[in-house]
Amino acid sequence: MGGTFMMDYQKFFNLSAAPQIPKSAQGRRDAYFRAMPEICIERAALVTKYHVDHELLGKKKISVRDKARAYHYVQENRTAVVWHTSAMEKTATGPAPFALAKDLVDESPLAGSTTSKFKGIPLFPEFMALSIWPELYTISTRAANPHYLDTAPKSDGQPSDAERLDREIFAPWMNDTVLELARAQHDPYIHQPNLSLFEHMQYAVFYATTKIECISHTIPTFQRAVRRGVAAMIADAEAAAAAATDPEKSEFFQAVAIALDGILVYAERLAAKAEAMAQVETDAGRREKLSEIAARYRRVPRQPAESFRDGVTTVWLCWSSILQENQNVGISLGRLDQLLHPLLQKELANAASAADQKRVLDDAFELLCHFWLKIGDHVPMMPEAGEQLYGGAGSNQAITIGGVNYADGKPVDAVNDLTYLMLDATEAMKLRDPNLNARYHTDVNDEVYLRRVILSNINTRATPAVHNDKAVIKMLQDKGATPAHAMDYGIVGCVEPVSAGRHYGHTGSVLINLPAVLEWTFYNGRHRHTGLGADDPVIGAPTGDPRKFADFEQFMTAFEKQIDKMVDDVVTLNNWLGETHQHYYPTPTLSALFEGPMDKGMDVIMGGATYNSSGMAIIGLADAADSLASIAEVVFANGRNRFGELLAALDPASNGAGHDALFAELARPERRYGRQGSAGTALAARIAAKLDAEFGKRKNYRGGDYRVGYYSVTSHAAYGLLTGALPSGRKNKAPLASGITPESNTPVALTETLASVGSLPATALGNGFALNISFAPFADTPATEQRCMDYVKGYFAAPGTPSAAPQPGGLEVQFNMMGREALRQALAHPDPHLLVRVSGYTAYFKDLSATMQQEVITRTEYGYAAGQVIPIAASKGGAPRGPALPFGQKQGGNTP
Amino acid sequence: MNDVKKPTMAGGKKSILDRLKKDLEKLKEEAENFGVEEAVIALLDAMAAYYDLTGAHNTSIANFNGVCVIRTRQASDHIAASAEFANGRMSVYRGERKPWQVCITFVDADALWAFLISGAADVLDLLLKNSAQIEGNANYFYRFGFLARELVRETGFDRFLPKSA
Repeated sequence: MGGTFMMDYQKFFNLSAAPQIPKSAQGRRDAYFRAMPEICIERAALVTKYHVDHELLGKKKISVRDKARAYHYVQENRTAVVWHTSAMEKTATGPAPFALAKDLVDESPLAGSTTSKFKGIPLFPEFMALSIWPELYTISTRAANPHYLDTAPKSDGQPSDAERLDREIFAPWMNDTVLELARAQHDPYIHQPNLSLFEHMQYAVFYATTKIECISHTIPTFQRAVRRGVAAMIADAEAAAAAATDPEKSEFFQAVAIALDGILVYAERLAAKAEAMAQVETDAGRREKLSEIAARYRRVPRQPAESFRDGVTTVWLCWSSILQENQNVGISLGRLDQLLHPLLQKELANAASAADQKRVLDDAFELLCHFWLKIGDHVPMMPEAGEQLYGGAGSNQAITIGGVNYADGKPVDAVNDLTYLMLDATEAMKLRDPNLNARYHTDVNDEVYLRRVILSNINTRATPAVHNDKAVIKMLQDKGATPAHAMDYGIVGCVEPVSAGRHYGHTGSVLINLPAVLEWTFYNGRHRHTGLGADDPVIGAPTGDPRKFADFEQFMTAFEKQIDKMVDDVVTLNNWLGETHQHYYPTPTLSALFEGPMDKGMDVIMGGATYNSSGMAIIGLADAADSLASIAEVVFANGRNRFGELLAALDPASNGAGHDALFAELARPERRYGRQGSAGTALAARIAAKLDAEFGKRKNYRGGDYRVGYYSVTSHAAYGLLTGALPSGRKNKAPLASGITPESNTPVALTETLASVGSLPATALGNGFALNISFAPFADTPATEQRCMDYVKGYFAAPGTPSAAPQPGGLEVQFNMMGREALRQALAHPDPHLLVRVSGYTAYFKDLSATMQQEVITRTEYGYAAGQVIPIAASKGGAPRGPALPFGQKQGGNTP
Repeated sequence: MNDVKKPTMAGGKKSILDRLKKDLEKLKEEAENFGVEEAVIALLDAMAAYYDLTGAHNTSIANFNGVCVIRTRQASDHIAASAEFANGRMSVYRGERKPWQVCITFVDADALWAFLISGAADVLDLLLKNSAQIEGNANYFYRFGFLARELVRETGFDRFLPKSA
């Protein structure tokens, strides 16, 4: 085996034996699945009180130092939870508490909690928390994903949490949310009938800019905290503040010191609480655990970590402190196997015997299982209709393992003991978060590691995703990273690669519906969802009537002009909102835990990070490419222009009825993206290059570049609901294709799919992509594992677009390995533990919307042996529920 | 008004709410006979009356200052009404009172009425269905939606509403 191992991994761990949940974590895991999410108002209440008491609202700017003091106040006053004692669950008669005791006891070695609740929902009134205002008294009992909120007045006469939100917490922010501050500054059309970019956004069909919700989507660094301790970091910041001649830089350094001190204050409060609990604890075992926690939390993160347990504690406390400041949408933890392995190595080296070394590994595995539970101790707030769009999504905090490091001018194997232990923990716990991502370098990492990654996918059915080191490293270097920084990449949120801890990429800045842009080309800037009448808004560019275009190239020119318009709009909106963040929402805690700000003397939001960019996510590439291929080969075939006929067929009133012959022509799969050498594949590459080039001309508000990626979360289903029938043959309201994956049931063989996707220009895919591959179930044998490994290796080595130098292959791939039948059965008999890969992240199947569930079920499924496509067959008892069939297909034939 | 003896909160609130509930049920029927605009005005008046008569204005809307406009897009059946919150009072006006903080424009009268009486106030749902457009500060709409939902809930009227708008 390559890599750095203190142990002969295969001697102690049987690669074919599935890791078991440690007994100490089983109870907490069971409680986690039993508990319903609970809204915690604590952070919102404390932040609001601080802002109101210090008159920070209504000002033209909030300084980074004021923000640091606000978060310090939160750390001083939020509940110091050592162990939770109760949680809420959904029962037949409504939400009810259950005790965490006996078999469901919480005795985590990691004290502290993101919120005051066991499975909490933190609120950020600075962003979109006010959107649940209308639901305060119904959110606990709504049908989809209820969030428990205390609505009963307290026994001491104090108001309920719902009442506090209504009367005290939400009201001060009405004009001071990030969206309203940006609108007030930039929207010149208030009170006029003309639409502005903010109102375009409200139509929900064109793009979704996430800065109104958060920035998030990044990877901090915990290296200095682990290796030097937070006290040393504070001393550095205070010294820098004293030495700085620029008052703004001095203020920033002071803010860093204040924010870091907040972390130590919270740690000390947890230590004191654990000590107090130990003094009254009658059970000797619990008393010992509490005493150990108290001692450890007095030591770290103040001082450097001395043990693996210290290191994990430091990471946990620093990361969860960032979450008091930043809403967690993809705040990822980076390459923890690289960061923490030296601590584990030291313990293994100091072990007296092989048995002791085994104990060290077992303890580390157990701790990781507890850490995985802690990382997922909160979920995002979701308003009622948001469930239709994003139901099932967690917070998507990613951890990256494996791959290579840079040493002596070349890549060296980075896989180590901890890489394997993290795979073990992921496989044992089967939680949707953390979102584990495995890096694999075809020339450096060995096959034992790849086999282990594949085995984890087989055992969990859905994780981890696998990333192609050669392709990603080259792409990052092409985008400006040094070789060392490129090789130190981590995955953010879903699938986005950035240099870990130093690249502030907001990789989820805007989610763009590409078929909507195509539709602007059909209707000279209008869209079916917003109306095609003369009084209906023109959102896109005026590019003319396609019924009068001479040929397909004229249509493509018009489409590319619409792309230019879309890029202009989203970049303008993103930069406006980014500037608002700069004025009102600096993030000193995150900046303290990032490479760059201490050197530059500025917050990450001002451009303090070493690398800066904003990431776009394009949804519907396959649908757009396939539609264009059909337009080229059918609508403009033989010198004709049949656009009038096409528009009549796309009319939402008819939805293709009466145009069977045309739709049958349009829907033929041979030309589609996903077929090797097809027109659709060539057009997908052309679109990707165009988007990268157009976004590449712009700079963001931090002076960084724009990068384009192709992952869709659940937006492909959401945008699909708002998108009518398309020239690809896709029917009205059907989901768009997920991520960069070809449309379902287009491919004929896995190798063609992988070659088609792998041929896209990697440099144009700077924000990463999600390729979803579903396998029919197969028995786990060395032969089947090898077959899967061969697919990955072949895909990663596939030649890219022709150029002077050979290109590496596809950037990423992720799997579902449970099969359609298991998913269909899960519809009737929901399994709370069934994980699926959505499009970038992992979710519990039962939490997905009905539309999303059907989308996952109807994805192209391949047999492992030859990679052949498994046709969709009707399930027992007739065709399953779900979205309408592809146009032209009838029940009883090739039905989903 | 000063000579009118106001009922006490304990017994009085219940009777006021019962009366409001009956009025709202009647409003549903009257909407078809007298037009949605009259019904919208009446519904908003009921809201204003609720705050005045129960003293809820001392808490629910004490610090709520702003104008919410509700209207339809259709020229042929244009409806517009405004609810102004100021100094702890709610006032209702026909037409669009300017300047407003938020304006919700429904595609037609049916969409407007269905939204108001359904007890549902999910902005995103409206946008997804393209049944309304929101201009201005949506936070005012969220708060107004809470107040409307609370009225429906307090009067018990929600038990008589259709399951979906």
